[in-house]
Amino acid sequence: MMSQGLNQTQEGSPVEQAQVRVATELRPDELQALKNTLERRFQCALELEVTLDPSILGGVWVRVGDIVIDGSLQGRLEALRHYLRAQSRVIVSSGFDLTAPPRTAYYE
Amino acid sequence: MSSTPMMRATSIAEVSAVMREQVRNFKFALRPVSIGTVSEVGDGIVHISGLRDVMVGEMLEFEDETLGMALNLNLHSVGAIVLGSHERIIEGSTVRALGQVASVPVGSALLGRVVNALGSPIDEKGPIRTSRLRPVERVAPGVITRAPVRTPLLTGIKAIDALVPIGRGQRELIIGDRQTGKTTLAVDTILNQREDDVLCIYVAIGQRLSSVARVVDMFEHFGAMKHTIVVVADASSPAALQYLAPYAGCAMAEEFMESGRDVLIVYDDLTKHAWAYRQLSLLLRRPPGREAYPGDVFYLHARLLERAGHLSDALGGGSMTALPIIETQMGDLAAYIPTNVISITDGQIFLEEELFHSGVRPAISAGLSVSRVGGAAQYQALKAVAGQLRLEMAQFRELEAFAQFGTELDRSTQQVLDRGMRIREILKQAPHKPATFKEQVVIFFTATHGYLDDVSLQDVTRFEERFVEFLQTKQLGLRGPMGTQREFSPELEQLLHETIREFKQGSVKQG
Repeated sequence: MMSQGLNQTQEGSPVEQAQVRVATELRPDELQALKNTLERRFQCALELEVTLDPSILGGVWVRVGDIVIDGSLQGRLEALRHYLRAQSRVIVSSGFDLTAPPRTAYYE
Repeated sequence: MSSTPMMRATSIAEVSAVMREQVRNFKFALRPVSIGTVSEVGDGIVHISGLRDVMVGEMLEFEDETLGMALNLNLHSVGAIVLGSHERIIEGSTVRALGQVASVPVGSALLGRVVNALGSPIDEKGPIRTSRLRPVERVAPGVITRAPVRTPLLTGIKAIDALVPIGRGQRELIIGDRQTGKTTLAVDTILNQREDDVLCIYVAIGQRLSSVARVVDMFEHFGAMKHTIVVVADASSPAALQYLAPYAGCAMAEEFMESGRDVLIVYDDLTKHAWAYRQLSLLLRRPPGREAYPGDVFYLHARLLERAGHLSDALGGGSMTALPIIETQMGDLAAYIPTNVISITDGQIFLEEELFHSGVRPAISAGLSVSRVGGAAQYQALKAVAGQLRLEMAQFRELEAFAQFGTELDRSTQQVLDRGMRIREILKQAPHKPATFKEQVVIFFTATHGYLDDVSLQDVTRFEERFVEFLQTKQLGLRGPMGTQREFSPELEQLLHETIREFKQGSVKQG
């Protein structure tokens, strides 16, 4: 599913805009490494639009088209908060892996 | 750690220990998510731009952590339903696709619990600990994975077990006007099941919370809660949750069925489910059809009820028996939703208001109620006596209308009428008093063999009560559904004749 979306992104325009949020200024070599990694991941040329956002506390937040990769510290804390709240309702010991296949795939 | 850490922890040290444990268990996964922007909100419906890769039925998360479900996928927008309150969702806020179709927790941890349509507990008994989630929507088992319905499911209601027997894996509709005892029939069937035999799921859709509370209270009171899950989407909950609830209950039932268990699921009721779906469909601007229901309202119920069935032995031999409930207006069986569900199910139990008010309770209409597959699953002993019973009831109904004119009747006609009235009397049953298999066989045998003919009509109920008490002291070799002997042998017949005579002599002496 995701790769399909990425292909569409690729077909849409050869150079995609990537919005990047960081908490502190990145060194040029860090920036280049991030660009390379993202281009490999999204399989298209990217133009990075970096904004300084101290509210994300640390890490990197990236958006390309409709896809967001939230690697910020704030995002992690948010996910933890979410997890703890969910734990007060339903505790799923296998974690939040909703993709676990049904026991018998009889409809295939 | 206790089973409900958040509830039982008393000291700050304990609370922080639990928290630390949970934080330690938390694993952060960095993965790309698809996002969109809310372009329109209203009445539990959200239109979203973006979200290009979303699946139909995929879970969405709004900024305020409310969940949603994508239903309409258009070229430039996505129509979604909000599984909760839509009041805090604002235009321009972002929506994340969770990459998963809507799922609910399943497993035995849910037994004895009252949960909402998303499987979250609403009974304040602490969190539910389970290891599995299942998607709420699932394709029904295919032809080769199914076994024919062959094991009976005893409801404990004499009129049903005798006249419209239900087999495990069957879909039997309970249909009737309001206040005719539909819910009572379903609840009594659940009360008659045992923990080690049939697990039960009661799905309340669009009902008053006071009614739901009464049903839950009943389950608790009669000890049925330990083998029952109650899924509630009451009248005040969003239409989206009312729409989802039966599928959520069905997913929970499937989990048990696939582990080889027998499950009974009650959908109370599907009329309100259709209303909720109509509301959502109209708000999603899907074209309205007959009675303003959308075009796929048949499929709505067909795909739900098709998931019931009896799995083949190769797949564990589990079963899911479904008892959907439909409310009619003025006994109109020919309305849109009733005809739909009648044609989907394997038979229906029609409850008549007129019968109910004339004191025939349960008010099951013998003429309009059928069970298309249950006969094959009836215990042989019960079948032997109930066959005769059905025949005599049919003759009685034919003559009854005629006899109302008060004409002189010949003796044989009068005899049929007398017999029929006594049979109707023994088919009456007080709510929440299930009759065992043994009691049923013996009492039907008594009636069809003319042993009640000399008992006056008013005394039939009293006779039955005392006879049942008398039977409890007797060994009849009829050990009920879980026993071994369910056949109807000549020896047993002889024994029954003797037992009834013995009781009648005894009661004459007493009387």
